[in-house]
Amino acid sequence: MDLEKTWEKMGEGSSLPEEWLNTGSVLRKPGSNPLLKLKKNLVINMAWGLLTLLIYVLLIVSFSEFWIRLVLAVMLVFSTWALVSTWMLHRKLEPGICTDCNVLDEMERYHRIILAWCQNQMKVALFFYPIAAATGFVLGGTLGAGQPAAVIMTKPLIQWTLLASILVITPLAWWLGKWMTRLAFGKYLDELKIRIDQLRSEG
Amino acid sequence: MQETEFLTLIRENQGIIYKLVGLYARTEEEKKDFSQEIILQAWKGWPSFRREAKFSTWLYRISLNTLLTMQRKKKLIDYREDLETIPWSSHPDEGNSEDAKRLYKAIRALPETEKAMISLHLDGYANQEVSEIIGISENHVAVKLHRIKSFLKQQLSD
Repeated sequence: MDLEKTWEKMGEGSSLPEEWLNTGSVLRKPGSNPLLKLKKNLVINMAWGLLTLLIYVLLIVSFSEFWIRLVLAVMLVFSTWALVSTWMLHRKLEPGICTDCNVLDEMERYHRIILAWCQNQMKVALFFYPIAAATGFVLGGTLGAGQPAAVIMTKPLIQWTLLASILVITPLAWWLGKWMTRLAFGKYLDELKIRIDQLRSEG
Repeated sequence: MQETEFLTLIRENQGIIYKLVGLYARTEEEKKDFSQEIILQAWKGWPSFRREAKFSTWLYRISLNTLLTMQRKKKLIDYREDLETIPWSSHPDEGNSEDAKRLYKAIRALPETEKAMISLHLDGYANQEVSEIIGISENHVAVKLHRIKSFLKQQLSD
């Protein structure tokens, strides 16, 4: 069999269905590019981040106790960090295909960007959620017991419970973050890595 | 006017999309999604298209970049034996169709990046052009193509 001739004949007389070439529906579609999906996720993350910041500011204003304010301020700093890093990733993210790049460079670009997002989510999960849980614990305790945080936190039972909660929540949050990023892009990243390695391997 | 010119060129070169999508898509739905995504990406990149380059080469690059960076929706299924869905299975020229089926099946069995290289090669691109589009050295292309062709010949002679 002549490979070239058979291949050439494959495309002869072939045509895409007319509806697939419909300008109105195709060229105005948002597309299903993974980076576009990531960019939309980042916008949603930022909207939630802004809302969270607003809630922390309102709580800081509402509580007059120093310790509560301090914990909330720490949360505010972490939330701001998460928001800024999300915004920076969003800003430099160019969804779509680079028309001048080669296949290997393009696959590596996609892999790099999505991996950066996954690592960012993991950092947020590792640092943000345990602190948020601790803040909630202190706030809940204060409101439930009707006593200031400084008083509640002197009790050994509360101290140990808080410590145990953080020790349980931290790996759990990390694992949850890892699971969520794997769910969103895990298989895709693995496939990209395989393709990149296929091209990189000289043997 | 821009849109009309773009779509005319797409129609003239739709064989590229048709053949490449046929190699990478597993289902009819994927074929449609991949084809439309390629056309969309080409349209977005249209303002940067430099006229000194051939449109077919430019579209080839976009098609491969799109296909190799697309995120698939569902669980991967083994499509290698699924010949009922191949685009040219009902080609009027039955003799050609049989050869085409066998070649198509053999190429689909290749790793994703090798499908890209062999399709470029079979479409007449020189090793240097394949090297530029894929992003590996010309020597590496030559070695890989030699292996791929040996594999295909072995598969087609069985």
